[in-house]
Amino acid sequence: MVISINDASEIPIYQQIRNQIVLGISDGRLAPGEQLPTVRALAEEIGINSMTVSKAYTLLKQEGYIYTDRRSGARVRQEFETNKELSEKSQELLRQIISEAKVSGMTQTEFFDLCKRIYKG
Amino acid sequence: MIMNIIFFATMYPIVFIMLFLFSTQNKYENGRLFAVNMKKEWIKDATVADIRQKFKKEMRYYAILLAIVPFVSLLTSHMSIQLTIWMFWLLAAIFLLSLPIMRANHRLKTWKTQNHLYEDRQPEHYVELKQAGSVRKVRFLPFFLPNIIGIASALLLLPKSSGLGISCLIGASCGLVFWLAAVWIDRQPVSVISTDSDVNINYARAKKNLWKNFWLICCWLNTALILFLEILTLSARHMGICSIAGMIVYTLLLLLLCIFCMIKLKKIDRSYAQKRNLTSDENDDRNWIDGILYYNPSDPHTMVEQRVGIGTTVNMATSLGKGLTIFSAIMMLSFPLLCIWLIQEEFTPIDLVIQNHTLCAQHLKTDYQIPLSEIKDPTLLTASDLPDWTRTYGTSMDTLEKGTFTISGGEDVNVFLNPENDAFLQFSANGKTYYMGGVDDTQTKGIHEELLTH
Repeated sequence: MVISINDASEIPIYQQIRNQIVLGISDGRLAPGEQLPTVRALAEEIGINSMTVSKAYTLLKQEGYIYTDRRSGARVRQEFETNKELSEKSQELLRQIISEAKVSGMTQTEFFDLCKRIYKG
Repeated sequence: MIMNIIFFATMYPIVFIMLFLFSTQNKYENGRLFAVNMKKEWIKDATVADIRQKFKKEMRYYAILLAIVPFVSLLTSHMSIQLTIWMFWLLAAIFLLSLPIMRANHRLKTWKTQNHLYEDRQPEHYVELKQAGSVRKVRFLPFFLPNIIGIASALLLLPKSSGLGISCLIGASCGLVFWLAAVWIDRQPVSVISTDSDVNINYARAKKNLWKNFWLICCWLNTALILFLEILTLSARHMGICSIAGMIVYTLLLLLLCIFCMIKLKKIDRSYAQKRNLTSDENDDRNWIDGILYYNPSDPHTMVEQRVGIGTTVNMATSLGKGLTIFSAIMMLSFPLLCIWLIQEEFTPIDLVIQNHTLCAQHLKTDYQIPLSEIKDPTLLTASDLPDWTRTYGTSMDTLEKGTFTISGGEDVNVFLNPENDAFLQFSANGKTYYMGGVDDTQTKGIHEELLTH
């Protein structure tokens, strides 16, 4: 799975890593139970500090996307909490996106079509 | 003359290797032309065609110039001047053959800017997540073996000949440098050329495997050379000429290995050309100064794959990159200083005098001061009486041999003479054997008589 890192972006690199992994899980590029690289290996590959990758992994773990153990390192969870709800933080993000869409003149139908396309991948 | 033949055999092919490497930049490969990211349809543009034509013309002109210049070295018999010509020729070859690429790169980037072909977006780089840090080909044992053989054999030689033993130990440490280089390249990130992870991983594996084999063969060649020199010292008669022959064969084999590696790397690139669907960021061109030097403050990587030639280059924006660049610049600047020093060595006559009951051997500075009371069995030798030896450390030129030399059987001797003369002194002092000579035969004979008187 290829991830893209934007060094000049306002989004912190740990957040970019977290977002790309979530994206990978959602579109199936990262299978349930799949092994993720070690913090050190990924940090070397991207060319960043290990702490940044560690921060991304901690976030993913807190959000329930991955689990870690001493032997096998980080892995994608086999099952996710299917409470059919978005977290408050994500709802806030969605609110912002919808606001942007409204301001840019998108109709509800056009917005839903876009959402459907993205949801299907 | 022998040295000039060695220079021709070992350095002349470099210009052809560089010519081959740099000329391929005129080919549109991996989405790039002259180290500039290009789309295929842009190649047909008249300005681009004109840039390519100019490049060909400049390259041909400089190649002819560089092919002729080394023959100037045949006009002189002085080794230091020959070496100076070759050193400056090498620096000129690197600069002049890079010049057409730098110009073409600059022209192409200007053309892209004028035609608004650079995208207005922030730069991003791709990372292979699944196999991050796991594509490794360098293993401990295969590299440990040639190095331990080289080091152990050098250590075994130490009691017999400390001079040669230390030289071989230094030579064996080159193998460790090859090992470090292999590890360094092996740890480079996987180049992302496709959205398909398997393609990226296989591409990285193929390249890393080739580099691993390259450095491993370098290690074995290094060990073979050390063993050859050690065996030669202990057994052969014509060790001087044999060691030179060994060095030539070693250098030529390394050159052949480099050519083989380049061809294989090109083949790998070609075989993956169809699978390539991701190129590096379009705007990344601007981080490549004239396509050769990489300066990107927003890229945290110190080493990146270079766009011209093969292998990797440093990101000059990182602190390690800055340090390596300064070190390389100092090394390049030290070449002319080395040449000046060599010319001084060759053109300053040696001098042997007796002052205050001490034999002084002077050349640029006082090299030896031996109290006359310690000198035993001074013997006058002719050129044919001199033993066959090879330099361990010091200077070995047509008109000057100075330093520690090893003779057949592994004994280290101190040498200070002009081999073109016909009278030399042999004596022992402080448990060491000395071979010395004055500025001419008259001076040497005079010193011999004085030593006998004492």
